[in-house]
Amino acid sequence: MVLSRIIFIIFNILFVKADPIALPELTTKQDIKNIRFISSDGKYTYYQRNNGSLQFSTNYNVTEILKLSPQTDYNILVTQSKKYAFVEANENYHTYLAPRNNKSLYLIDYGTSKIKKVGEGQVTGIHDQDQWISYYDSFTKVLTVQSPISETLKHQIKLANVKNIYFQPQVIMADTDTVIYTDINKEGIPGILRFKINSRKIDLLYKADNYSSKLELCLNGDSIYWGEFGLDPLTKGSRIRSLTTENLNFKDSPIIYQSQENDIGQIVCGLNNTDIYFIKTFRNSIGKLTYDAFKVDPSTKKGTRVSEINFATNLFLMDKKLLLPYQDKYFILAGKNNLTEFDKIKKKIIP
Amino acid sequence: MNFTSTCKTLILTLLLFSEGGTFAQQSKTPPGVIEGLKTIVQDTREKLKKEYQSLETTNKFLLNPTVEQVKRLKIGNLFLRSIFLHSEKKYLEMINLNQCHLYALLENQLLKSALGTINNLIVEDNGVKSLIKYDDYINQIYKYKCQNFAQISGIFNRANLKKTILSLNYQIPKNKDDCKLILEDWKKNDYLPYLCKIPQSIQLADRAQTIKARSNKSDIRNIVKLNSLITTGSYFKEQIPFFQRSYLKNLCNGVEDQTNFCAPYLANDAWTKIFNGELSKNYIKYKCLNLFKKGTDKDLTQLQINTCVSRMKDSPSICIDKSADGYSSLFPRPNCSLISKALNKSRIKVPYHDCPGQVDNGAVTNIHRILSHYLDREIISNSESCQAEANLSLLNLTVEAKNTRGWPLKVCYNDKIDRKEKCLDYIPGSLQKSPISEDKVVTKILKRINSISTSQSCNVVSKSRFNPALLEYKNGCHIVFDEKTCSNTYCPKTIYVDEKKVEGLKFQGTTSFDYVPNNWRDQKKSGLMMLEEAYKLRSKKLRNLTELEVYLRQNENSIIHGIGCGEDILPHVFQRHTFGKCTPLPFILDGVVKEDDNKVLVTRTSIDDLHSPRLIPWNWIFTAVMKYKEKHPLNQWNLYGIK
Repeated sequence: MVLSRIIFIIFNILFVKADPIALPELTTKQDIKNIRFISSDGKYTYYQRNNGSLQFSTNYNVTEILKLSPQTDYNILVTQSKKYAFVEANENYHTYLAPRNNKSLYLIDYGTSKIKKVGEGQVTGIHDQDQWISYYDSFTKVLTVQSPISETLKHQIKLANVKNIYFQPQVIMADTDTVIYTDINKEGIPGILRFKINSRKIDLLYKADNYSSKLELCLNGDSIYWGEFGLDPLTKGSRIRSLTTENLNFKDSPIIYQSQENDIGQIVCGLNNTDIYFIKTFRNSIGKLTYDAFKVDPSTKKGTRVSEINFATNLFLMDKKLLLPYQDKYFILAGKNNLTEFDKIKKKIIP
Repeated sequence: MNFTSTCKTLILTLLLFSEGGTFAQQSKTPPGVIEGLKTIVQDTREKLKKEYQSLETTNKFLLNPTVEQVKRLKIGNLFLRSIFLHSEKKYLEMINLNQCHLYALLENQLLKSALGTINNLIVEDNGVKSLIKYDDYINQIYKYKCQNFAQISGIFNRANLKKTILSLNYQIPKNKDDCKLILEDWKKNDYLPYLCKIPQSIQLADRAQTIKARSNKSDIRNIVKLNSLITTGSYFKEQIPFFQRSYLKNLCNGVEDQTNFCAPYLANDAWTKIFNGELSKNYIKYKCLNLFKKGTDKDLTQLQINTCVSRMKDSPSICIDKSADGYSSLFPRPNCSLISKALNKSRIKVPYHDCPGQVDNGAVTNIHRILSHYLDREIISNSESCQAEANLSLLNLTVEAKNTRGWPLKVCYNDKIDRKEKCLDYIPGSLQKSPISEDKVVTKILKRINSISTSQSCNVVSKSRFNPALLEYKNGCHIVFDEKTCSNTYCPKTIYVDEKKVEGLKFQGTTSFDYVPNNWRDQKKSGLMMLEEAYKLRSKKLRNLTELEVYLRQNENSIIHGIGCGEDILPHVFQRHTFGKCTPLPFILDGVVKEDDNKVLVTRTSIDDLHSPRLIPWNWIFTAVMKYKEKHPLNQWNLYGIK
């Protein structure tokens, strides 16, 4: 044990580069803890107040767009199409600590303060150039795919899952008629299914080998990246594969990344037209596990570690910025750290 | 296998054979070793039987012997040879260790002859053979030989046994060398034969129980004998705690072979430790009963624990999907090996089961777990009562803390007599000890609106158990809920009275409350403050790993609780899609495990199965608490030691 430790230290001194990856920390003019969405150029900011107010700020104008009970918590999802901001509002956020509790869902016309209520549940996505929204009710186990324009265009899919009440489906839309989502069967085995909106037909596209794995879906243009991540050391391993929306053959889709470890996953794609990002599990020579952001170029299958904080848990995209939250900070993995600059520029222009 | 001691025993045995020379005279051709031993055994038995019967029928008993008489006595050669041929090796080994052990073993009836348990010895006085009662013989022996054994005998009598046993130091070996030293130490201990009587008597009692079940009841003599063995075994079981019983069993088997003693204690898995009594069997009880599909009102036998432990060790995946059916929680659970690692360092008391999925509000689950730990109460939980038990903990807390907010869960109905809607407090599920348990409240309402007669009462039944084809569900009042989907928040249920659905009852309210103070004005109404007010359980903020480790070390019975973001505690479950997203998740920490150079914490989040703790890196917990702090209205750090 002592010897292996000495060897490990010598190995580190000799072969491991001295400088860890230095990541810029996201800095904003507003108090970062109140921000719920900020555009990449810093023009539009949605933020919340402790009194239950959701506010929109642009050009030094602040508008209250929604006021619910004090201590309401908001989450806001905006896609690249930026037609809508999909809002989850949890009025019992601090008093009813139930992860699967349904939230009130609202849609804001992006860049405005125009808001409308669209349903109850948990946000699962905005799809197909913002032509559809989806949300899930984990009590009734109904996944709703709905048009943002009209509630009459609403399709509901009852999930089979009874084994894991905390399960949240992953949802993408390959085209206007095709919803692809994850579910868990009665035995607890996860699978990928297709729901055809027009025919209301559901078919199974992929079924995992065992219940100790997690399936993830990510859509970037015509490319689908999907991951299968082990959840237990008894069935270790992770794989990410790619396919196109034209050919939904999940089972035989080519592998672009695989590992013997159980990666955390949380695939992010669409930042640029190439790389995919996720949280990878690293194991050093003495068996110590660390977790960091990793990127893979699907065309070359080349992978690179992009953070060295050792205990990363997740990463997400917020309008062209790929962010890695850690402790009380948000590190920028990709995209510009320009949010304070915008204000400075503005100040110069507007005397 | 201890080779030296084996050789010693063999040499001793061979010396005995050569001593009398009887065998050599009879065997004209030297037989093979096995054949030879078989012949020796058979020959000795026949001769001894003959000799014993002859002495018994001629009534040659030496009664009330004096010390002088006993001094002259020699144990008959044939009898002694038979003892060495028929007694268990571990006891013969004890004689090698200390000559006085021969008498102590006879005293404790641990030696056997070809005729079975030794009640009388065949002795010789100047070539005259007679029978002497074993206790008469030993009593006189101790007067001039091995005198301290007379005292030891006294401290192991029934008046002193329990005290003596509890006063001994039962060292748990930490490694192989340590184990060897501990065993050597025990071997030098004069108490050894007296201690070994305990596992021996228990083993004989268990065997007698089985034989009795198969025996002819009319064979009174046999039944009396078996009953006597069973009574002695039961006495030891009642007097001596399980850990000591298990330790002594391993110790006595270890005299013969070191691994018999060391292996169970050097095993790193919690399951073996539970089997040995080193860890509470509550950690395994509900898992095993679930695996065996047995009711939770039953207790596990040692044999069942052994079977269950073997299954956990041989098929670690059974903990992932089996072993908690009916108690909804996060799926998949960790495998048995991971749970074992966590349980090795766990301290929370869990003599019950809960169902976080049915309770929904993690704050209620955490409060229930904290109170159950500190109040050290045993609850016989089942899938129909687990939700009610957690809610009752919250109700008791609010009552004890004199919280004036009132109970939020109500059943409402249209009261035709008073011509208005009336609402009554209720606790979801079935709970005998609570007057506002759902079944009792629904019964009260249905009687009031004349849906059932005054003699009828309702019961809560899970959908999986409810079968209208069965007579017990055909008649009467049944509140049927789906245990797979039902929770405090959402629970569509159907009430049947004599197979007909009853409508008009509305179940309202949620168990919302502040787990930690969320504003200065109402801080006394928070769970944290109510625990202090009602049960004097004070929470102390812990800000880093060192503080956490010191707290656990200095407070052996204390646990740690807090709230953090699910996205950081369980990143494989919760995904952070948006900026600032944090799913508040209460949790309990009760141990630190060093694994591959990382410090990981024994964690039970409020959505985890109570009996399936996870190992979560400290850094994740830290980030989780930090991120929730950012969202908290008072910007409060919520990680506390509680005592």
